[in-house]
Amino acid sequence: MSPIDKAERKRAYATLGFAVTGLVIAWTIVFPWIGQQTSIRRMIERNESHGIDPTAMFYTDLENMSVQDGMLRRINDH
Amino acid sequence: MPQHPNDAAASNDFPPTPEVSISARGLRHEDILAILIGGGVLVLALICGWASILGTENPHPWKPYFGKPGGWVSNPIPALTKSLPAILMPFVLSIVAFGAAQKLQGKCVKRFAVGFVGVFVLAAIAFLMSSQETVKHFNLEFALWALLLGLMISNTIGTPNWMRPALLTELFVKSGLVILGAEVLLHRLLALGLPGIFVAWLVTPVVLISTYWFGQRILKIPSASLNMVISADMSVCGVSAAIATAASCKAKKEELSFAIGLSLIFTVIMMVALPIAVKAMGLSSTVGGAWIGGTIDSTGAVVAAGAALDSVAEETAATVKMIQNILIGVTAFGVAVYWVTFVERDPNGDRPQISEIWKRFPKFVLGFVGVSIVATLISQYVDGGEDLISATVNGATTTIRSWFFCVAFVCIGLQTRFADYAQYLRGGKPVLLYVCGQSLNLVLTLAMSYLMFGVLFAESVEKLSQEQATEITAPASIDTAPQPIAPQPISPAATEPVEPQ
Repeated sequence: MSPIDKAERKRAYATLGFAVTGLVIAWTIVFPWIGQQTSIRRMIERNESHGIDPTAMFYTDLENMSVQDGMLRRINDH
Repeated sequence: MPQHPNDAAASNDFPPTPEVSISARGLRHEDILAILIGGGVLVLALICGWASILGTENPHPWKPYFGKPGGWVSNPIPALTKSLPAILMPFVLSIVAFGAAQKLQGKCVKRFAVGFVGVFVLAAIAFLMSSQETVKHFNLEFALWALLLGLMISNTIGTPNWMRPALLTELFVKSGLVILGAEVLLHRLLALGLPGIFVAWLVTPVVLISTYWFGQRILKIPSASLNMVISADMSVCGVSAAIATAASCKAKKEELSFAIGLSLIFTVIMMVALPIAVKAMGLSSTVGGAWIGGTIDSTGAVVAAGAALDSVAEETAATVKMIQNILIGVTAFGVAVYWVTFVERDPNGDRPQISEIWKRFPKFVLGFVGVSIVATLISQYVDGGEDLISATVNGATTTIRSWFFCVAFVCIGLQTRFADYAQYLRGGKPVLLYVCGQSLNLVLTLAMSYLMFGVLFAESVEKLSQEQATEITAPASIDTAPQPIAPQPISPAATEPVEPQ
């Protein structure tokens, strides 16, 4: 490996290390702090109290879908 | 000479499907392997669930063993250690299933297994990132973080060679989609009766087709597949529709990830803005809920936005979204047929023969639609079938297909350079396409929601809403019902204010 390759490789690892450090800081300090702000806290608590996971990709990812099943049943009953 | 609309076909990441026959060669084909893996997982889960679920209210026996990292606020370690046993089983199942597929394809299983360990660890970190409390409530899904982790590695130190044998993006995506088929229960398309049919069935295809047409004819977006993935992602149901459509129209990996990134950014904005708009316009809970359900891309964000209004809006929004979720089966099939019939044909040649269409058709779509039909039939016509399907999906297969998708997004990140995205940002056409398509979606869905839920079927909708409120205030009938909230007309004074973030 030439000295230039070595230096580039070092720089690449340093960049990755820098990015990982940024992520760790964001996830362990910045996001928890944002989550404590009043308006955000209110949104989080409302979602939690309703059992809502906003990251649900499909309706089956929602634990609370039994309510919607209830609507389907009522439609069928009518 | 006019450029072929899907010029990228030669270097497509979801490559055209070669001829498949029921032979050893056919069995080695990726689409067939995806059907075998997805179908195999489902059959196994159904068999295991059959004995322990039928006639009881027991959860699926796999439920304790298949999971994802749990929620956390500032320290992820306890969440990770607590979930480790439940993370281990999806890993074992994946390595066995995809390892067998590698063996069938004549590739080295050991090299795949070594690489898969690295890919799976990154997927677990992505899940952990998405389960941080604030991140989760801003609807920033695992797909985004899986992509980011992969991109960080590939664009700095480069994807390690030992990981490369495990970068089976298409196989992971297609197997996950076949499993997803069991969640596409067709009878649920009728969940909101006639008004729901009009809002979800009529507006969704109209917006999808209009946006695609606008992108091709007016904006002249060079890649038809990118145009289709953005159109489906925006008009149908976000990430899941983008994945299904990208695989059906053989889009490039970076096109899929670009469309998903775009959708997630706009979802966060709409999740906050739409409830405010509903209140400002003085819409009723059902009209507002239907509008939210028909326009916000992501399912979880729809429910969160509906809940910001009231319980009736939440239920209406979630049910409209559920209908749209189920439309992805029809969308994936329709897009696959359209692609092989019209987009991939030689513009100067004749219309392709049926045999040619069949040869190019992505066969995994048949597995996806077939599983959906079988699951619907079991759910509707087998005694206890609905409970069996529901327990199997909720207790086992939803988690498994989420892992398959997460691993696929890690692979996409590991195979993509940041420079690959630059071409899509140049000129801003894809962003403009999304904004124009979503604007049309907002106008059409509002008009249809108002007409159906506010004028034509107002009385029967009101009756249903009252029944729903009664059911929610009687929690004995539904264990997981949300907090009792009486339905009422939405007014700024009557509802909790939603503040923009």
